[in-house]
Amino acid sequence: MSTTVADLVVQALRQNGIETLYCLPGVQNDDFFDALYDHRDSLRPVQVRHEQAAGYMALGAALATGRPQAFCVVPGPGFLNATAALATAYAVGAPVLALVGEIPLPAIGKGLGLLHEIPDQLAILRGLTKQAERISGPGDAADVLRRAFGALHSGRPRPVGIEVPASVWKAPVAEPPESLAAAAIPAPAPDPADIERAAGLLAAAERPLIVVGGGARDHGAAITQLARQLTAPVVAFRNGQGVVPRDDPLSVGAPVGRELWRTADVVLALGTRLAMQQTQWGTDDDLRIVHIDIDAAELGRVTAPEVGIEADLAVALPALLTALGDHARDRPDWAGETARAEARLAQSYAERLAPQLGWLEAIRAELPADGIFVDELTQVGYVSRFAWSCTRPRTYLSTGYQGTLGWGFATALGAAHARPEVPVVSISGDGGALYTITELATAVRHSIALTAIVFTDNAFGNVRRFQIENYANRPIASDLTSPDFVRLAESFGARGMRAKTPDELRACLRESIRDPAPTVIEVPVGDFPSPWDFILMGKVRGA
Amino acid sequence: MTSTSTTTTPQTMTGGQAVARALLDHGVDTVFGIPGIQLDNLFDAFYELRNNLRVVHTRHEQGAAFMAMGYAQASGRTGVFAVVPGPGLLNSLTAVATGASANLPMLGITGQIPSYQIGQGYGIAHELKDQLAVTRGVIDWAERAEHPAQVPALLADAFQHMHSGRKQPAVFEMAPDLLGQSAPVQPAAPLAPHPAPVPEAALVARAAERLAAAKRPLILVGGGIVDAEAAVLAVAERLGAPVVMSPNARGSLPDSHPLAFTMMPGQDAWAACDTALIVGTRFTNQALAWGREGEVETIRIDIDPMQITKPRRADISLVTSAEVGLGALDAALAEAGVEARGIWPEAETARAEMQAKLAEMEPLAGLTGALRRALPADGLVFADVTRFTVYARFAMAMHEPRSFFMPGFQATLGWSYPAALGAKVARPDRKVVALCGDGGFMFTVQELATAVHHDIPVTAVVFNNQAYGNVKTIQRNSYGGRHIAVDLTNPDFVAMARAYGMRADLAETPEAFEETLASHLADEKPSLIEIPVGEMPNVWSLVRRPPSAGVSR
Ligand SMILES: Cc1ncc(C[n+]2csc(CCOP(=O)(O)OP(=O)(O)O)c2C)c(N)n1
Ligand SMILES: Cc1ncc(C[n+]2csc(CCOP(=O)(O)OP(=O)(O)O)c2C)c(N)n1
Ligand SMILES: [Mg+2]
Repeated sequence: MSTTVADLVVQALRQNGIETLYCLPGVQNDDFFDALYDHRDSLRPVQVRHEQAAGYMALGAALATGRPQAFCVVPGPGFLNATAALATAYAVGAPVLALVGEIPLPAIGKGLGLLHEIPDQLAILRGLTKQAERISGPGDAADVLRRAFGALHSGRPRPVGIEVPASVWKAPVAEPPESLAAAAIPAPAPDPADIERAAGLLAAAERPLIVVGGGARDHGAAITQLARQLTAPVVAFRNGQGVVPRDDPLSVGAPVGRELWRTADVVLALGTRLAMQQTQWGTDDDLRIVHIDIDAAELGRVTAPEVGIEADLAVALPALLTALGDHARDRPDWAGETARAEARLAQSYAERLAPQLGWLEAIRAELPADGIFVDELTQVGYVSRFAWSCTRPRTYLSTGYQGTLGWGFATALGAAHARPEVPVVSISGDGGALYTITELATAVRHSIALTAIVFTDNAFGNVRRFQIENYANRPIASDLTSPDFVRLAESFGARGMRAKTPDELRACLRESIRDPAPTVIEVPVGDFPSPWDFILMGKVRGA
Repeated sequence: MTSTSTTTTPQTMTGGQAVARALLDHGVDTVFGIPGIQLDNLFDAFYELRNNLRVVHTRHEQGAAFMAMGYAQASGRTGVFAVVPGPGLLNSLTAVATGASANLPMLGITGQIPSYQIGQGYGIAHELKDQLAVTRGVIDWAERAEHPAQVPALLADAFQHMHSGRKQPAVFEMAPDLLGQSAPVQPAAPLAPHPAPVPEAALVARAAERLAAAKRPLILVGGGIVDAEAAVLAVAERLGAPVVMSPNARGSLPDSHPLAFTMMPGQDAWAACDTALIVGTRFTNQALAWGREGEVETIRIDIDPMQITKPRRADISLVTSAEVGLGALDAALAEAGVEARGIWPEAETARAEMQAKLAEMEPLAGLTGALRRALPADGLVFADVTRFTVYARFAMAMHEPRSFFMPGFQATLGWSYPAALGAKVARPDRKVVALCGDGGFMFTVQELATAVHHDIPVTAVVFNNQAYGNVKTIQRNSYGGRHIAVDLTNPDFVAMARAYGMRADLAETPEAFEETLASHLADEKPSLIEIPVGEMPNVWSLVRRPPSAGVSR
């Protein structure tokens, strides 16, 4: 039997380290699934109940492991169903491969109205990824696959798309390539002069501040060392959490970071857009910025940095440490200021956000340090962005700027599938939970243990809050009638529990972590105090 | 369309108020949606109009858009949904694509990031690289208002676009700062849809002549026939021509009429016909699967000049609406003295034979009969893609136009339940059922909560075979039974629906189904019926299409 394009795709996935295919089959991809059949032990299909979950599971798996992950869907509605997951993967910097079917090649663009035909699928795929191409036959299959995996392994991690028309899968490949393993394309080496300038600026700083984003996830050790040598506090917002463990006195949340931003003199931005800080907290001429990112487009996105370095942090950070040599400064005033700001804000959270903190502390107390916490847009989630004590990278998963309601359960499922050795807990509101909780069926079918905590207030609580507070008490379309989540979970053959107090939540979590199984814990809640004063905090610099 | 409040003097209002006002001016009475911060000003404007505009909020944006679609399907009026930008919009695009494939007027309203930040890549909440470009990959009309004053004219244009020619969805977006900004706004009166072109008299005459001369004429109709049912009946009865209704046209002739054909006997009639009048259908499936290219004289009526040549050109093409084109043909035939011819015998036989074959296919026939008896004649059926509906779309007798619905050529799983909810909102006087597979139903299952919250009495019927059965069958028949990624582990659907707070029952036989459905419908409450099913007879063998050609299913 001759090798087909479908065989090449299977081969490329396996040779590039993909072990699971999150998927939902359908007629355009039948030939591909048949090729997969013979390799299903090494490239396991996990079929889901809605294509959004194929996307979110791949995303959760990619975030939890740091390695590329793949999903496969039919064209048209199947693909469109996965687009919110792709947009989220793009926002948080996750290497996710979207393998998307397409109508037969000769029919593309003809407007015949074939099953699952949409006018320009490839354009949409390109709009949501860093790179997307179509395999148009045996001639370009190997190259498209190599380029796709090259992009997944290189540069800024972001989703990549491949589209394969139904008529192409079975096309025979005349000379099958030995290997389709793609190597990473190295990022440009940092200019030594820039590194010297950066080191000089940082060494001379009185109040240096380090800002880390998702791009810094895998560089915690070097950053911790840098922070220690410089006595520079490190602020993470969402995707940078855990880069420097939160129990380190130099690791601070965003509200504390903002206090420090007020008087910082040099900022070292690592793997972050630095947009939230510059647009919300403000900038002025006294703030000198060193910005290092693998994506040149981020350097000077808002204002031009004094030193902008396009480089892989894996190369730039050791270079910077070398350039700093044995420079080490205590900066006791700055350290003191950091500690005082931390204490002041901790006090203020405790006074104003006690209910949310109570739930977070209960979860933290039960979830081991390497356990994964999946955040969502819910009252407790907003507070977690700054008050969650995250001590390891890739254990706090966030939607980043995309703010995708409903990602949580399915993303947690992907994380749990990819890292079965650690407990995974997702939190969502009753609004967000229903977007993907149907995947309880997937959890049960594929025996994926995870714990979903659902804070049920029978409302799109956050929307309702704004309607009441900002729109003269005119709530509309924000009250909900939610299912009984305990019975819902049980109807899937999953474990359902209810916790009314943080202590009860601890007890439920203890059980679900000790005896892993798909679990939903419903937590009935009322109104929470507003966390927004600690998130939308306003300018501290510049007019 | 009524214009209740159009005035000529500009009034100061916010962008959100301008949008809400324009909706009212175009006769909109319901908006499906999910709020969020970018739309706060819009929803606040909805609040002000709450006595005239009902907001039905849902549990996933796909649900809102599918409900808008079902609303349009059941009523012919514009289905409107409002969703936040970025993931909210993306979550709705499957329904937009589905609505486009079924030629429906659906208006999506969405937000943006703040106008002054668009295109900067700061990573603002819900930011996409190019949101409009994404929407334009799905439909033609996607526009952004850049100022409150632009809103009325832009939305009037959207409504005109949606209702002109082949009906289509449109998506309008506006940044949150502009939705909140106040400015003088001049309301705009609705624009009439572009009228259907008048076909050339000589062409009509030639078409009538060919039809009159035909010995075995056939009429093929698709979704474009909706609202032109009387016209097609008139022409069909003059010619004695069977009317072969695509699933999107089911009910345009009541199945009790001897000329009413589904595509199954239609295929046999096609094999024997000499002349075919093809109206308001893409004709793709028939042309690609039924053959006889060049053997049948073809006359085509389609409102869309792009569509009418696909997949191949007819002998005579009339670019106009079904109503205008059939009206002109009817007049020409009357003039030529063509009057009440009887159906040609081969067609009549084919119909009877097919009905007999279909009647033997158990348990499908029993279940279909039970459904038909329990549901009033004017009840609405929303048929998801499942083994049962592949049968029912051909075999269930329909009595009224606009009573049997499908998700267009997208065949989108999960469309049926939320679409049925939207239909019930549009037509509270009708009984409404959604027919789904266990696979398809789970795509949109969260809207059970919407049904309960807004008390929308629709009965979901779930045919549970613990599999993506359609795909599994193809794997069995065409891939030697190498089953992969098709088996499912389902919830106990009855227990699940009860967890949502609705009535739910299991029905294991056609008799039980009939009784249970009748009782659920009498209740007039949201409800669910689960029917466990096993292997079903292969209906595709009758549809006679290569199952996995990838071209059509
Ligand atoms: C896909 C998507 N749709 C809508 C929104 C807007 N939104 C943000 S928070 C929220 C309400 C969430 O309600 P729930 O999950 O119950 O959490 P709560 O605020 O009640 O804790 C909504 C609708 C969004 N961010 N993403
Ligand atoms: C959104 C979407 N994804 C995938 C498909 C491909 N598809 C067509 S039928 C089918 C199986 C449907 O299973 P189910 O609803 O249980 O009905 P059954 O065929 O088992 O009766 C699938 C996956 C589709 N049509 N739409
Ligand atoms: Mg809530």
